[in-house]
Amino acid sequence: MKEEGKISNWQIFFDDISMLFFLGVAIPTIFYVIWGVMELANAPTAVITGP
Amino acid sequence: MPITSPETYWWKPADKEEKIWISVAIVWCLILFTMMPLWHFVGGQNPSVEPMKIRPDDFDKVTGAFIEKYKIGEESGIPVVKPPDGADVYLKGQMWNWIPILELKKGVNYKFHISSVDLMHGFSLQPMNMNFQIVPGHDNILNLTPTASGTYHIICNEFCGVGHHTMVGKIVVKD
Amino acid sequence: MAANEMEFRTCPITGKKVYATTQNLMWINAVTAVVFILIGGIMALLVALTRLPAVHLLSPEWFYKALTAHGLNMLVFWIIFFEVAGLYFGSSVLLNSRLAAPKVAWLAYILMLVGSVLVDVMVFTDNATVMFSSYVPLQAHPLYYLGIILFAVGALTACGIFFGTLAIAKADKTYEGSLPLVTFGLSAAAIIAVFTLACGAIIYIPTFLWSLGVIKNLDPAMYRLIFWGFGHSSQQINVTAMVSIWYLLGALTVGAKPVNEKICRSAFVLYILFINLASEHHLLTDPTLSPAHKIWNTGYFMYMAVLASMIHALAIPMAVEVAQRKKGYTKGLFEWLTKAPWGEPGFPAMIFSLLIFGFIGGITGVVYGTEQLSIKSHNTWALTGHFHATVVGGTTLAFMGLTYYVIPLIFRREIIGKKWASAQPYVYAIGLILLILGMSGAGILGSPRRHWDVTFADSIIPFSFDPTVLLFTTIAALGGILAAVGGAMYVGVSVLSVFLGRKLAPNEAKLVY
Repeated sequence: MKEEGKISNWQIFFDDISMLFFLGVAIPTIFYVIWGVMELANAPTAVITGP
Repeated sequence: MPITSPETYWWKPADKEEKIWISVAIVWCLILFTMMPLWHFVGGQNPSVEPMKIRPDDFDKVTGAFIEKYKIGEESGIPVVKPPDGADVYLKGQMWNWIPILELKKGVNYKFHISSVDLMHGFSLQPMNMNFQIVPGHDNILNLTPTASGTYHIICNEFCGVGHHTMVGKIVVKD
Repeated sequence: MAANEMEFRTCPITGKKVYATTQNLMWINAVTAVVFILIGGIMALLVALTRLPAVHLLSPEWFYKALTAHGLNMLVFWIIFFEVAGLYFGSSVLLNSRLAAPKVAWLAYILMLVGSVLVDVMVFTDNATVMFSSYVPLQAHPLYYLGIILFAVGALTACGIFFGTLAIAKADKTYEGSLPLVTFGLSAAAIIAVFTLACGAIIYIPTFLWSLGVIKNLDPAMYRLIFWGFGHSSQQINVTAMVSIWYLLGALTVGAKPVNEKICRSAFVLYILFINLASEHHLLTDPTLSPAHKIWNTGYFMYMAVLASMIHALAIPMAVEVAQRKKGYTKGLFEWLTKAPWGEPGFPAMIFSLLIFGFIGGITGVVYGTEQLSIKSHNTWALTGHFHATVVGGTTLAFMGLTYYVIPLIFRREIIGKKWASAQPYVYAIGLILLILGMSGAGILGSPRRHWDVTFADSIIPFSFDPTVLLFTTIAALGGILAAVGGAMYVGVSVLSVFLGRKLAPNEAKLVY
């Protein structure tokens, strides 16, 4: 049990909406958008030689 | 109440029931997550793994050359093509046809190149119901091995204009 | 509109301060939402009557037009207008605070309204039959894209008002300690909304320029990637707002109190962090993207967002059970459930929403969102079945249930047609379950989505499905028609009550009954 008089650090983190905001925008931006855009931009283009 | 602020110290240990439920859920989630990469290596069906862009004009040209080289006839105005064993096969989606009609051999692996020369299309192989997104400018490269002979159809399942519902292609697999 | 920024009344039931500015803004946003569900619902009925093989009502041109309008009016306009009302409620009313910058909030409303009207006008004048997804290179009129941009900017501004109100409430110390759980959940929804609307802006601005001819080439795969950052994530806003409303409905109908705040809040934090990765679900059978990108994102970073939903699925029924047992319904295992207020519209709406969202929508979503199983379901009608379970059976039904409480508590009108209100969630839920089963059954057999004619009568190459597909299609269409009836009941009751319902006296305390 948590002793009275000290609020858990987790509770402080959860109350910090701006931190959650930052993480909530940063995580999908990095893993989904930036990673995906880099893959699409760096994909090779086919050179046609005929079948 | 959920509509008023909670008590000052709300970070409290969970009850036994909650702990059991959450542990089961975590284990289940991890199993699910492991299955995807596992199946990617041991499974027989996976989406394209070869990234390749292709200009729609180039794809049109290369499909035209492919059809000219291996054409064996025509059906309702659409060329029928029989590629040699193990050849690269080109299949073009356009409003509102899949070109050409293909004649393949059972048990032979073909490397399919599927793309579009106009809008987005949806490659939907029936009746086994296998679906792939066909994106103009990108070559959807799939290694396909027909395992049973018969007639298969390709319908379009991505909206591509007012004739979308008439877009049907065909693959015939012979022994 | 001219209300004084500081003018408020105290709610006789909850003791919350309701500021006049907040009340007016909630009213206009909620009423506008209902207008859009009416438009979207008429389109839904036309689409269902066309899908019904025996009727096949519309021409292909009209069918695709109606389907485009149905998607946009329901998925975007109805839901987001309602959510904006919800955000103002969660920040201003629940925190007893005045609303930040009401004039800007009105501007946000006007931007959203102009945007949505512009989109609808373009669709109905045949300038934008492009479906909800409007995939490049299928091109719509530039004003269509401009409409979406205006709408997104307006909605983003409304999110800003929400965060601004949180800051004001904190500075004015209108609450003590942490945010109430419902407000915390709505904050999660607003955070998810910011990523969503930013993706919308990133992709629709170049698309707008492309439609004007300023930009020549737009990579269709790039469009798909960023578009789904908007298109799918907008549904994650709905999920998060819906879960918050489940907690709210639990409190309003049976007095349910979250058993462990830590657990409920952790689940919302998991949503904030990971749920937006799920946009990848649309791209699993796409060329070019690597399996690593697909597996990582579609797995929501080890399914942590699925875990969050599993946690809510325990926490909400648990809170209801505890509250009911405290009232003395302790006989056997299930007296708490059988003696629940099933005749109040809010309770069945919450339970059906939870069941349809979780059991049908959630499970199908996780299955279809696997890299390999996506091959079996991508773009089939089963997908349509999945998101009708999540967005309609889940979000819309929860919002409908809440409406019956917002009208007496916030708009101070007595509900007209209480029996209709009580029956409405049942009719709507049964219709939806039939619709979803039919769509899923036909889709698993290969029936495509967004399709005018699954008999392929006009094709050059003849093709026909297993006849079971037509049976499932008929079930889906009949379910759709029943759901449209349920939707009409909702619109009827809410419009009549808001405009003609008896005005409640200042201290008159009344939920639905």
